[in-house]
Amino acid sequence: MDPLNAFLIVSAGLFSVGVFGVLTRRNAVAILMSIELMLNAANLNLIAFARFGDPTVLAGQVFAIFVLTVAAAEAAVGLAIVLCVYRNIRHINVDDLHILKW
Amino acid sequence: MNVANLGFFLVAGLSIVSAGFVIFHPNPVRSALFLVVNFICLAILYLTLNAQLLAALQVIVYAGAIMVLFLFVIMLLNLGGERAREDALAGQKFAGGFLALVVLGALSVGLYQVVSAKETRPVTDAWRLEQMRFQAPPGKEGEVQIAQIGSELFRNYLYPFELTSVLLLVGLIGAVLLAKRRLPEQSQPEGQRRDRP
Repeated sequence: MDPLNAFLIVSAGLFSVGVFGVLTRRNAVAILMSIELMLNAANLNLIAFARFGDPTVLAGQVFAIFVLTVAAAEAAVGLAIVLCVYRNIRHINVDDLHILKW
Repeated sequence: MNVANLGFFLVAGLSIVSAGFVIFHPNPVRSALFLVVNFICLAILYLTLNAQLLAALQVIVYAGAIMVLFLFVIMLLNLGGERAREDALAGQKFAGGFLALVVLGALSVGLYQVVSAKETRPVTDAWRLEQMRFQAPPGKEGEVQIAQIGSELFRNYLYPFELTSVLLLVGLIGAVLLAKRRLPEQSQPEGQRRDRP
């Protein structure tokens, strides 16, 4: 098996686990953690292509750094929203979160 | 199967198993701790991919900063397990599992097409599985690579870099605004809020 394919298979598995978590968990914090899993799977893809593509081009690693930064900002804002929601309705179960719907 | 392959399969398997525990564990604190295991496995995989800077950043930013944020919020809200309650969305687990399998299948089909089209593949055959071994600890080579990443970041990707700093500033202000405690004069109507919708 090609080494690149091994990394891509691991990445696809991690991404699918993250998708499953986003679709099935009800806890908002757990959903944010699943999103982190998916971002990490994308990062693994980027770094694997940076290694096994052209080794002199570092665009994959640079892009992975950007993904890392965006993930940090996303986690901070998302958790602040979770805190805000908890302050208003005393739980963070996304099934009952329909105050934005109407 | 040599030692490097065995190490790769161990770390990759551990990362996927810990990701599964993140998803399936009902206790948020424990799933956050399994997420730390997952991040560290991915950092080891980055090391095998000759990305020492990314491995260090993964441990520092993800397993350090973001995890502290998650655990802080979990413990601040005193979250227990998810309550066993009547299912508002019946069959959500099956639908979610089905859709996740669809995603996995689509990714696998794409991967299979790339693998089967060997001659158009950009990866040369020089990269054998034997070359994928755990690298020596970052020495001179790693430092040079970090310098390369820095010069790439500040030459070719200067505008995205600056935009990222703006994004971080916006995220900072947004997080402070969203999470700050309400001022005393604003807390009057808060007493009449609905506790449960």
